[in-house]
Amino acid sequence: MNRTISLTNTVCGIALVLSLLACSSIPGCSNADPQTSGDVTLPDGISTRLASDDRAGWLRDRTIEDNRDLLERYRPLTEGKFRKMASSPYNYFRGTANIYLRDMTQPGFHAFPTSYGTPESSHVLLVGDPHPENIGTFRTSDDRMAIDFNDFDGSTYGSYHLDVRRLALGFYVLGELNAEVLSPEQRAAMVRGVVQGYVDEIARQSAGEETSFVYERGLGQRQAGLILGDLIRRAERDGDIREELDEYAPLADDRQSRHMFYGVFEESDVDGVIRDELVEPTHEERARVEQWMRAYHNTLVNKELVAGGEDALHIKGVSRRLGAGVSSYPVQRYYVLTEGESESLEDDLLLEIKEILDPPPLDGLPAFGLREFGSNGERVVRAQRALQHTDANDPLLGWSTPSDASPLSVRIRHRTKYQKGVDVARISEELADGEITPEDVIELATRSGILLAASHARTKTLQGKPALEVIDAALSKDMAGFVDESTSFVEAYGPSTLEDFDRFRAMVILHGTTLGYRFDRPME
Amino acid sequence: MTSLATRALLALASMLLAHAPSVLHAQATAVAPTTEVAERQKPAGSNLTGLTFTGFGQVFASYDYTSTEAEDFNAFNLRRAELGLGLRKEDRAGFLVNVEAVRSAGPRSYFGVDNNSLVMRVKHGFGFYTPRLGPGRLTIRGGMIPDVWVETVEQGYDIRAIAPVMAEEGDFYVSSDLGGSVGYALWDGFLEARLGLTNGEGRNQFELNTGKNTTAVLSVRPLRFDLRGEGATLGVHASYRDGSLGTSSRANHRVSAALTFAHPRHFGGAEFTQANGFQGQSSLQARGVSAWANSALYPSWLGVYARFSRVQQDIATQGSDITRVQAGLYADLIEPANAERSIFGFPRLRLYAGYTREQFGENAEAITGVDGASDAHIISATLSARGAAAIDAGPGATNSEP
Repeated sequence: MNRTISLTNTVCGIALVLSLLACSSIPGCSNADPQTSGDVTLPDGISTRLASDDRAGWLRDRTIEDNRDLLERYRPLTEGKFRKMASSPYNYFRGTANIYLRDMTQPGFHAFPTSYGTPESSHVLLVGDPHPENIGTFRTSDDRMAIDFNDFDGSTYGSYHLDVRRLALGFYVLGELNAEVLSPEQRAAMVRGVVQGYVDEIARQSAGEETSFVYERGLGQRQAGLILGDLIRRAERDGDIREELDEYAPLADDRQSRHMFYGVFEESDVDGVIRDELVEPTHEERARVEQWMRAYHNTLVNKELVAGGEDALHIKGVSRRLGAGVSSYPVQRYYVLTEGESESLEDDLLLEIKEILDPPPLDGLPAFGLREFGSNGERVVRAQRALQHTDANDPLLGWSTPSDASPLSVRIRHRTKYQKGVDVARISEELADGEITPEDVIELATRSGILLAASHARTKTLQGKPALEVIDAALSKDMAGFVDESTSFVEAYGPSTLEDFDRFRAMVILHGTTLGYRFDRPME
Repeated sequence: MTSLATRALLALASMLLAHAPSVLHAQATAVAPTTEVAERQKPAGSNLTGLTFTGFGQVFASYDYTSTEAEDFNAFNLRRAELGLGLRKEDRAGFLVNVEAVRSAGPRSYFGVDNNSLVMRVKHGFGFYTPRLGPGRLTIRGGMIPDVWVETVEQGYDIRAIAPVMAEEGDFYVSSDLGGSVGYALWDGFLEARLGLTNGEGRNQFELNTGKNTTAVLSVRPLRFDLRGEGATLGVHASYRDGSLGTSSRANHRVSAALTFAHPRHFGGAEFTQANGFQGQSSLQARGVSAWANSALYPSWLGVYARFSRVQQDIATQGSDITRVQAGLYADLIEPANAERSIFGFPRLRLYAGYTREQFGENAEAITGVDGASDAHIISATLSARGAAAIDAGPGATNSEP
């Protein structure tokens, strides 16, 4: 073999690799990181830097990744979701829990390690996406009113501090939305109130005491603070008159039957976004609902709590609900009218069926035995029962899965006006009108932190240890330090979230409401 | 990128043509462990049509006892189950389809098939054309092809049942993607160049952007010698990838180098990759290094292996590294009978017993700041089984092996 020639070959090969290296470093030679066109006009306040920096590209790809399944299955509704997210910082915040969790768990843009974690406290059952609008009222099976978290779609096992930071971040966004009414000190006090409330309740429960969020009928509005008290008052008022039936399954003209309402119930003030609309289900959808309902009864926590037994769940009408939620805006959601305890129209039940998606992945955290649930529907229902004050806050809570091998699963709950949620827009209006004060919002923040601690404290970790013990052990060395660390995190990450909102608005303008996603197949 | 790829292909073609006259006698070798079978397995006996069906399979089954600070766990796992079929016309052309088992849902996902069943998916599916051209052998592939860098490093890596090569383990490369590749090997593989042009999204995703990943690999095997009567090869490899990822075409470039030593009973090597653009973040720079060795101390009865890898997920952030140290013993329950045809020896039944230590820096995923949340001690028993057979497609042909 001629080694002289081989040297030439080697040199040529190296030259080839080097030329590729050099070429990719020349602007325009590599096709990665294409620059944003300068021709597009961005809304006021959005800089071209935000629209085209590395974070913008990452955010776009991750948002597509998180919604790819929805884009492929429910394209128009997913485009509506993106419009809704682009309509306000709070809606953006609600739609990006997975972005937050990536930032918390992956290196790169942000590094916010906690000094208050332990391996044991990294496997606490999380609410997943606690924020002000995921707090609401329930009427318990013994006819009392409770305040609890009400959305467990993102529930999974992870470190408790992820929930605390997320809740505090929600109040940060709420504060920034009302910056004209709330001073910087008051906004900071809200964030600190969440974390302080959390650690205080952990300490209180470790000492054998507990803050109650369950109220006798008529007393909640005086005992739960102004904002939550008013929520309880309105829930009792509207729940007692079965307002949900009048709205979504009104009596027919002859008052001998009920029929499902189809049409726009509430107009949206955002173009291309549905606020509250009911449509008639297709035959296929109705058949699917009937299948879900057949399997649902066996998942109730206590069948005895359903007056009328299985007959009470006999289907009388179905509508598809559009426009609810932000993250889950595109998913299948149905209202189902059932017989109730008797043939009387007054005790009919209205149930909500909602498709449940996957929890956040939390890549890299070992979690053996995580798949203890059979489906996403079972996961969120069992999480709700574990994290709420009683496992029968909603006696009609259950889940269902199809009988075939399909992974689609749903959560079914009582669609009752006894269940009302905190509304950030309402808080903003009432603050502006002077009906509530900044101190009332700070009190809400503190109670929310207490509520989160109470929720965590009553669960067991993935390994079966009492969560209260492992959280207390993680915090006990320096509770004040945890408060400082968490508020510092929000001070740093909060503005970044608002910048991300601007990036998101820019990407909707630049790439459209599919964010430029290339569909696997043409739209049908 | 298309223009870049065109330029690169032209450059490669020019280089090959320039050196054609001087090495007409050269032999081409060196293909990947799994894909080499279909492309090179020869049946015994005559074959009038020149058509040969080839089948092969590989299974890595393990029992792993994992101890973390939060809990201990043990489980049987199927790390790999592959089945491949190919058809080849003499030594020149053919196709190969290789399917592998994969869990149908992600680690925390409930969107799997019939819960989280193992399902089969296409790992490789490509046509190939391998004519002699000038002094060497040209290899052209198109379809779902092996990554040219991962395939190159695996040629000197005999403990795939224990762990993927660092390039794959550290999420720097995916082992197969849709696209095409061209390779040219001179002087019995003394010098080899490969160029891959792929979508860049990997085998589990369709193309999301207009850019294509261009990966160039250059291998030099300067030392070939007999060691106790069997051939040994030392290889030096370098690679560069110009890549883009995701809808927004984030930069996903790689610079890699490796040193490999391959002998039927002794393997070793070291590997390095620098990522410019990582995990979908253009500005994120990551780096990985790895070294490994395995040796049959008492052939068939006792071998020993050791492996080290460290992936620094963000060069700018201290404590963002993931370190794995692995060591153990193995025994070949079936002696590789046809080692003369392939250094990887088909068939094989090998049992490993080993230990793995995984350590995550405080800023490595997943719960940053919590030392020990992801750290693990793992004791494993792993069974690695593989085999291949080739059947002539001609009239009356009945030969097959093994």
